[in-house]
This record gives sequence, structure tokens and C-alpha cells, in this order.
Amino acid sequence: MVVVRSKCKTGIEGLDNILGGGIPRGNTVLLSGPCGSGKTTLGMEFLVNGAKMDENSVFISVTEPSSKVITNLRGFEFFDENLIKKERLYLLDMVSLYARLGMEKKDYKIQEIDPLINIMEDIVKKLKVKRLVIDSITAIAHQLESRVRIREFVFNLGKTLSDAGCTSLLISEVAPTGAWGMTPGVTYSAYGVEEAIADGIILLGAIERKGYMLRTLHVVKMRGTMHSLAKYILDLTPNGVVLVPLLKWGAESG
Amino acid sequence: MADVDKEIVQKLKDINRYETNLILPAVNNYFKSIQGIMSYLVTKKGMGGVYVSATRPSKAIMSRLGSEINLDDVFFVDAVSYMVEGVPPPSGNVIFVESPTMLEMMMTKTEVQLKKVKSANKFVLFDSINALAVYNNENILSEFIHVLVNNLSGKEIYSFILSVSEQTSEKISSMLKMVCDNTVELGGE
Ligand SMILES: Nc1ncnc2c1ncn2[C@@H]1O[C@H](COP(=O)(O)OP(=O)(O)OP(=O)(O)O)[C@@H](O)[C@H]1O
Ligand SMILES: [Mg+2]
Repeated sequence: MVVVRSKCKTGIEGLDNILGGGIPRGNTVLLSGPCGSGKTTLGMEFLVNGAKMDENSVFISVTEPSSKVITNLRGFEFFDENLIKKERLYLLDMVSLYARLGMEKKDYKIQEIDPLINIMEDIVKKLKVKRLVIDSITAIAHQLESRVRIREFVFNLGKTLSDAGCTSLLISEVAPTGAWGMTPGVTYSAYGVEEAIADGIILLGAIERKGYMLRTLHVVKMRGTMHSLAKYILDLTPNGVVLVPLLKWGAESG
Repeated sequence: MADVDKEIVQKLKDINRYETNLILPAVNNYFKSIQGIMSYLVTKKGMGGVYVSATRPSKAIMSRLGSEINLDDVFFVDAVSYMVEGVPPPSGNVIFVESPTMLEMMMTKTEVQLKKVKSANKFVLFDSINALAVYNNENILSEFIHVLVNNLSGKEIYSFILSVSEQTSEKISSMLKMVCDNTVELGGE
């Protein structure tokens, strides 16, 4: 018998269609792309839409203070500040994470994997989190110094989140190779180990057409569901992400 | 003028939601056709909608239509202003697409604009396929027509795709007729 896994609707219409309804619940998904490709926006919309459906949603900002995150969010029409007041949407940064650990930033060494995982587990359980975005996993991996430790971290984190029934997007920054896009199948993360452990990979990129850049999205893998393998054009609008099929005759520059 | 208007009323009276109507005006009544269609949809039927302009800057269309038709609930996607006048000044009802080669963006921006329409009955008028042929080859244009019609017919709206008969190639013309639900030829009598 085929067991159909319950889906976590991203609420981004085009993406849910690509994914056959949404992300299978409990999946840890790598959201990869070069800078400016729309990772943070897509991640945020996923959380805000979840919060609107009464699912507790948490954004962990590793590189920016949450005050800056919220300022950017106010530029989007999909954002509703009441979601924060109603404690459906939480925007956390490293300072608030350290505070939960009872530490000041200067005392804390991120090289210690276990406390970091414990604190994320603690947040997910206490706040009954159904959706989590970490922006970015690359910034954490950068401080873990070795591939073995990165692998261990991502593996343990994925297991912890999935056991808690939380659907997660781990944002991964990839250095552009060539013209802001990259050759699929080469690497989807800065350290090349994150993708092996993830249940899914959503890859953002860009193509050039007659001197203009167009943002793209395609789902490389997604355990637990059938999905489209086609490339889509991604448009970042004030209403959030809008997707349409990429015209294949215009996929190459020139 | 009255003739084209009468013809439009006659030919558009049976249009349905979820269907795509191909409008083929003759070159000499192109603008009269647009005027007639817009006045039928907006003034007579009380619809609001999205006007995608790939032929002329939205500003020019607004100033020519605006004297007779109330455009408060009409939102524009403009794919020509960047080409003809550089960075256009921001305008409340208009979203600009930088180049008529960014065909997919015309669809995403149409989606954004449709959300702003308040009227219960909504339309999309795509003006025009023949103008896009100047910047795009037949292969990508055919593919675009396919995706566009698919995209529009999934929505609860009245859709119109315009292409001037004399300026539409054989291949594009048969593609349009194949994928659209109805074909309306105007003028050329
Ligand atoms: N309010 C807005 N409306 C529409 N587009 C916006 C808005 N704010 C930002 N953008 C677009 O979104 C882009 C940035 O997207 P985003 O921050 O999601 O990318 P990112 O992949 O997270 O980038 P980075 O790697 O730098 O973190 C900007 O370059 C801009 O084009
Ligand atoms: Mg970002």
C-alpha cells in the first residue's frame, strides 16, 4: 500500500503545484542559491503563510539582527506584523539564541555543536514549532571548521527537527560559478556535505537572456513526493514569490 | 467607428470565463478595436482588469482611452516604456517589465496586477502578440503563446489576446488559433 505523507503547504501557489501539494511534513530542505536569488524572501513567505494557517513558525537569522530582518519584511505585502504579536511568527537572531543559553555572545563558541542543537530542539519543542527557517546554514557551517563536524551538525539537526514534526528550510549560500547561475549537479552548498543529508533541495539561480537576468527555481530532489523537475522563472514581487514555467527556447543567453 | 463597435458588441456577447478569445483586428482599425473592446468590457459590462501593453507605452494608451473610459480599476503591465524611453517614472497603476524579451515576467506581473482588481468580473487584455514578434523569435513566441493561454485559462477571468492580422506570421497565427477557444476577426471588410 502506498502511504501518502501529509504535506506542509508552502502557500506559494506555484511552488505547491511543483511539489504536488507541498513539502512532505518533517522534511529538512536545503534552499540553495547565490546572493540576491530570493532565498530569504521565499523562506519568509513560507513561514508567514504557515503562521497565517496557525502553525507556529520560527526564523533564525544567523548573520543579521532580527530588527533588520523585520525592516526588510515590512516591504512585503504578505507580511502581517500581528503574527508576531499573536506568537505565531518568531524572528530570532543569534543574540536571542545565546540569551536562551544564558550566555553572552562573547562567551559562546559556535564550534560546540551539541549546545546549538539542544537550543534549537528546545525552541522547537517549547514553542511547538511546525516550520523553521535557518538563514543561513552556511554561516553556521563556516564556523564549524571541518566537514566532519558540518556533516554531524546537519545530520543531528535534521533528525531533531524531523522527530519534532517540524518542516525546515536550511538556507544555503552557493558561490556563483559562471554568470550568477551554476551548473546543476555540481554542488548545492558551500561545503558540499549539506546536500547529501537533506531530504530535499530547492535550487534558486539565474539565467541571462539578451542582456537581462531572470531568476530561476527548480526542485532538485524532495523525498516523499513526486515533483516537477522543470526550471521555473521566479519573480520577487511585493506580494512575494510568483512562479511561471521557464520558456525553454529562451533558456540560453543570446 | 460605430461599425467596429457594433461588430465588437455582437461578437463578444457570448464570451465566457476560463476561455481565451483571440482578437484579430485589421491594421487600419487596430486602435478602434482596442477602444471598442475596452469600452465594452469596462463601461458596458462593468469589469475591471489588466491591460498588458507590449505595443505602446501605457501612458499613451491611458491618455487615449482615459477620456472616454474610467480606468480606475484597470491595471497595466507595460513592456515597452523601458525600450522607448529608458527608466520610466513610477506610476500607480502600472508595473513595468524591463524588456519585451522577458516574456515570463509579463505573466508574473499580470498575476500581481490581477490581485488589485476590485470588480467581480475581471479581464486580461494582451496587446499584442505581433508586437512581441519584433523582439522574440518564432520558437520562443510559440512556446510563450502556449504557456500564456494555459496560464490565463486556469483563471476565473475573461481573456483576450490581440494580434494584428497582417502583422502576424502564418506559423504564429495558426498557433494562436489552435490554442485559443474563440477567434474574433474584426474589420477587414
Ligand atoms: N519589497 C520588495 N518587493 C519586491 N522585491 C524586493 C523587495 N525587497 C527586496 N526585493 C528583491 O529581492 C532581492 C533580494 O532577495 P533575497 O534577500 O530574498 O535574496 P537572498 O537570496 O536571500 O540574498 P542574500 O544571499 O543576499 O541573502 C533584492 O535584490 C530585490 O531585488
Ligand atoms: Mg538572504
